[in-house]
This record gives sequence, structure tokens and C-alpha cells, in this order.
Amino acid sequence: MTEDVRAQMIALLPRLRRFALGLTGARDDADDLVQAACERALNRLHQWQPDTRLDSWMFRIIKTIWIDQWRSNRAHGAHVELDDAGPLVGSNGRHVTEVRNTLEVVCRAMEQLPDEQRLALTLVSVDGMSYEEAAAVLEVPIGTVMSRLARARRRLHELLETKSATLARGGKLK
Amino acid sequence: MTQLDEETLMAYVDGELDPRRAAEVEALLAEDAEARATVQMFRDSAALVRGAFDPILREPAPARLLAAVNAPVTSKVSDIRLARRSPLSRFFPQTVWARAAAVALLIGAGAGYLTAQWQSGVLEPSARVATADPLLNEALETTASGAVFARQEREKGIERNIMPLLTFRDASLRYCREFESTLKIPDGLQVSYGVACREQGVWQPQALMARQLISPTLRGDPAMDHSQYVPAMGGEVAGFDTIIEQLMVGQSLGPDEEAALIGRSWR
Repeated sequence: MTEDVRAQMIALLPRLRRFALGLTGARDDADDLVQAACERALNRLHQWQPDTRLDSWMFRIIKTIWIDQWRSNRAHGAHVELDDAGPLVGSNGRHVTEVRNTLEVVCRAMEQLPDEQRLALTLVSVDGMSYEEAAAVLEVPIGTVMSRLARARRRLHELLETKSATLARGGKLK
Repeated sequence: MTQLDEETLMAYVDGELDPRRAAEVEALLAEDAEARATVQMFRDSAALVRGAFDPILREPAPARLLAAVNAPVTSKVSDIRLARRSPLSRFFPQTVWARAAAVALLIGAGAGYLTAQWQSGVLEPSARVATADPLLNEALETTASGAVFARQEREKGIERNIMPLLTFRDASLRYCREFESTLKIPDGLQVSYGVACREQGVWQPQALMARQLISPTLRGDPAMDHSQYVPAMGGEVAGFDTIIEQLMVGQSLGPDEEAALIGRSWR
């Protein structure tokens, strides 16, 4: 069974990395988080019921590690690598339409969201989970996911103002 | 925007409304410019984050992550028990896990035992118990790891199965065994995991974690709908593993060593 789970886990890696990046906002941290989650999952494989979804379980492990350890260990503010993205508001509009910078700008804005809003946003809008699936990962009611998600998107919109519209419609992004 | 709140508009954008409600929202949007602007805001925000993160999916996974997934399991106990610990779905489908079920955690504390009721994540000492368990004692004394020791009390409608999972020694060189115990009662099942150590010829429970399962016929709790995502016992088992890893000294005993010990009554 373990070998089959390992194969499933490898297939999940791209989604896990994307989810972790949504939470940490920095690539190295995201991969550290995914690595810790994979190690924990393999050591605790007996807790996973094979007839349930591996992705939900892995996402929940990432969420738990991030909340329990990550946040408490890194008390410092924004990440150095994102400082290169320039000021968030008032910077050159054309500059941020570059795809490379879009991720940095979005990550930087997301860092300003409360943890629970960032989780809801990452699960639903980044990963594409349904509200119900996200509620299962977060272990909260669907209504709670919705209110956190709506507040996250409203706040993100305020942080990025017209940039979000420009970026979303700019042809660089789908 | 009196009839359409933000969350409804967001659910409309995210395709979470049923077709009838979505059509109602569309009709209302036609005459509500403010709501249309909110819809656009939700569309833009979703497209922005989705588009920003999607390139990650096309990147090959770094070698260190592939190595982590393919690494041998490092926990001292987990890999051994993987094959042994019975999937509880064998008895009941996963969906009957009672969310609100009380979990009792008993941790051996010095000479006596500290009982704790673990409910809603709160661990509270409540009473001291040191009750002997003759069936458990017999099971651990005579049964190999992975084998099931079964006893029935038909008149009471009770069936008890005890399966030792792992045998090891602790720091004071006592033999200790982790076990899974299931108690089938008329309207459900109680599953517990525990660890007991042999002292002066008796297996003394050191830690016990129990969960009550209700019978499928008692289902009907809407909160159960999501429980298919809940791994059995989740974090509680993680805490339990820690107890065992702390108790255990060296490696667990192999089947031959265990059989020899059972043969000579653990002396």
C-alpha cells in the first residue's frame, strides 16, 4: 500500500507546492513545508483511511504544520526575496503586468491577510477546491469558508486596487 | 444591492449556486450596477490569484521533495504497525465516526493512573483508576502481535477483540506492548489503542485512548457528511505515537523473540 501512496503523493506534489506557496509566500519555505508534510504523512500513514481522499489529508497536514510551527517560527515580516517586487501600491502599472512579478505582487498582498483568510483563499481560488472541500480541509462550516473567502478577496482587491483588474484582463493571465 | 449579499455574489462567480438560484442572481444583476461591480471584483480576484500561482503546476518537482516522498519511513513504530493496525472501516464505514464522541486518554503517572477526559481538545484530569483488566492481561500474555484474541459474552451481547500491535522494552527494561482493543456492544463499537507494560507478572496499562463509535443505524447527524475527509483519530493518534516513542528503548521485538517470550511466560 505504501508504494501506491508514494506514487499518489508524487502526483500531488505540484498542487501541494502551489498550496504551500500560497501560505508561505516564498518558494524555499513552500518546499520546506511540503517536505515536512510528506515526511509527516509517511510516518503517520496508518492514520489515513485508504477509502478517503489523499489530497484532503495532505492539505490538512500542510495546514496544520503551517499553523503550528511555521507561523510561530518566523516572526519577521516580509520575505527578502519579495522585496525586489517594489512597492505594492503606486508602482509602475506596466511593471507589474509581467507574469514573473504577478506572483510576487500577489504573494506580497496575501501576506497581509489574516491566516484563516489566506487559507480559504488559497484552497478555493488558488487550488480550485469547492467550498465544501475547503471546509473539510479547514474543519470549519461552509459558511465560515465563504465569509473568510469573501473578506480575503475584498481585501486583496483593496490592496491591489486597479492592478488586479489590469492583471486579470491583461492577456498574460487566464 | 439590497437583495444580493457579497457571499451570494461570490458563490455565483465561483459556480457554487444551484442553477435556479444562479438564474435568480443573473436576473437581479441586470438591474443592479453595484452588484455587477462586486461580481467583477470577485471574478478579477479569482483570476488573479489563480493565474499567478498556476505556473507552479508546470514546474517539475524539486529532487529533494521526490527524495522525501521516496525515503524510508523513519519513525520507529509506524512502519511496523502499518500492516497490523486494523483499518476500522473493516467494522464500520468511515462515515460512522462520531464527531462528538468523547475520547478518553489515560496516562500512567507514577504509581497510579491519571484519567483524563479529552473532549473538545481539552485535557482535564478527573480521577485515578488502576483497575486490573483480566482479559487484556490474558491477551497480552499469550497473543502474538498481529493476532486477535477474542472473547464473547453472548448473554450481554458483548464481543471483545484484543490485538497486540507491537512489543518493545522501556527504559527500566520492562516488556511493553501496544494493543488495539475493540468492544462490540449492541448499539455500537468502542475502539481503543493502548500500551501496557509487564510489571510483577501483570500487564499494567500505561496509556489508553478510546473512541466510541455509534452503530450505522443511529446515523443521521448532518455533521457526518464531511467526516469522510477525517482520518481515523487524526491528531489523537499522533499524540499517542509520541507516548510510545518516548517509552520505547531500542527497536521493537521481532516475531521470533516475541514467540519465545510468550513460550516462557515473559521470563
